[in-house]
Amino acid sequence: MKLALVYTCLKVNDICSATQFLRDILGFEEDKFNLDVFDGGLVFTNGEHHKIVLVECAEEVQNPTILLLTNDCIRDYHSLLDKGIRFTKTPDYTDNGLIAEFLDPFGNCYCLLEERNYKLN
Amino acid sequence: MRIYKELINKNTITSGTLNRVSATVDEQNYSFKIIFSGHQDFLIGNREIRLYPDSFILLAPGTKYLSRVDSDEPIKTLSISLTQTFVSDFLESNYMNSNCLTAYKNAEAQLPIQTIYPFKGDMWFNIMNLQTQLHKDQNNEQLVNEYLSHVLINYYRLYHEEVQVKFGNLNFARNSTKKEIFGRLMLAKEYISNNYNQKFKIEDVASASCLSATHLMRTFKLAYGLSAYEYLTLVRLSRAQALLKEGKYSINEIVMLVGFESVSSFISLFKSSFSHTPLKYKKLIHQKTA
Repeated sequence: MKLALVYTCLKVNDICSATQFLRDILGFEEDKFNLDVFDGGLVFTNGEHHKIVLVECAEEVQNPTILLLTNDCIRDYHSLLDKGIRFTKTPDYTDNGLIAEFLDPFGNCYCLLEERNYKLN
Repeated sequence: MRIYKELINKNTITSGTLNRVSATVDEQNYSFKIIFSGHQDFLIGNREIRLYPDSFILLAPGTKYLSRVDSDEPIKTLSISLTQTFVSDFLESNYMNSNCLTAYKNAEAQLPIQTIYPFKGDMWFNIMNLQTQLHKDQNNEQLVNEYLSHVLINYYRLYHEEVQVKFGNLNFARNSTKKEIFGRLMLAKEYISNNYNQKFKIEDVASASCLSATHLMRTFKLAYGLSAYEYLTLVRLSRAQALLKEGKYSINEIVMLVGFESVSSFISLFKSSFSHTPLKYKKLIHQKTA
């Protein structure tokens, strides 16, 4: 059996603002494909295999940290700073690579990771 | 393509190619010198440092040196020059709270900075990303300064690992003796690095570093945790790794170029150091960059 993880579900109580954040700040595009599994959910993609599903819910929900991969953490950190994003952790070095953390306007935590294979370089 | 970028804060970055050139320079800033193929010589007083693509040099303000490229084939170079103000502002800044600089800040001894450092790990990744941005020709000074601050983070971490820790391993009672011996060991390392593909004896390294052979062997092992011969093997493997990345040479040619005597011992040493055989490593690198 070979299973693949494709969707990350993000519960928000203001789907319009969350859509704006994903589209205008993070550069995701809305996928016209709808998922019956998440009634009323909006699917967002940035051309990669993995997708985000926004699901509206009545109350405030604390979502788990969302991990975004990048090929240049410093460039994207700088670009998000320019867009007014507040970083809770500036780019710093870990065994997996360069990592920075920021919050969206609803308090969800995003992790920006540039994976680095130190064995090859 | 030559790229020259001077920022408002007077930091400069020059990327281009050099062949058959010799120039005397009176360095005013902190200058990182990196090459991506071939080799470049730096003569600082009586000291000669040969730079290869697996290493970089940091030159301090006030250094007078002769830079020389002997080859007809152009070599790709990158020079990053940081003003003394930029470096001192960095040392006062929040960047110093980065998780990898705690050890550097806690070390007491201020030691010479001018030597060869491995061009690997985070320094390599950040410089490659900086190069990509420079070639996009986007005039975003703040972003470039962000990269430059990270180059300093990477440098100070390397300085801690390569200089402060090794210096601390020497067990001489007097600090002045310790500094003197450490300076000579740096010369020994540079001699090995410059002549890695030649046949030489431990006496040659001892003579270049003004130490007796016995004293050199004992103190080298004490500081670096490995013998001079083991260090030579590491240098040869690292040069082989850089040549594999370049992708121009066959494994057999690389074995000869870096001074190994047998292909089989090279393959097994390479695998034990980098977890992959040379051929598999070459394929992985080229898959990544394709």
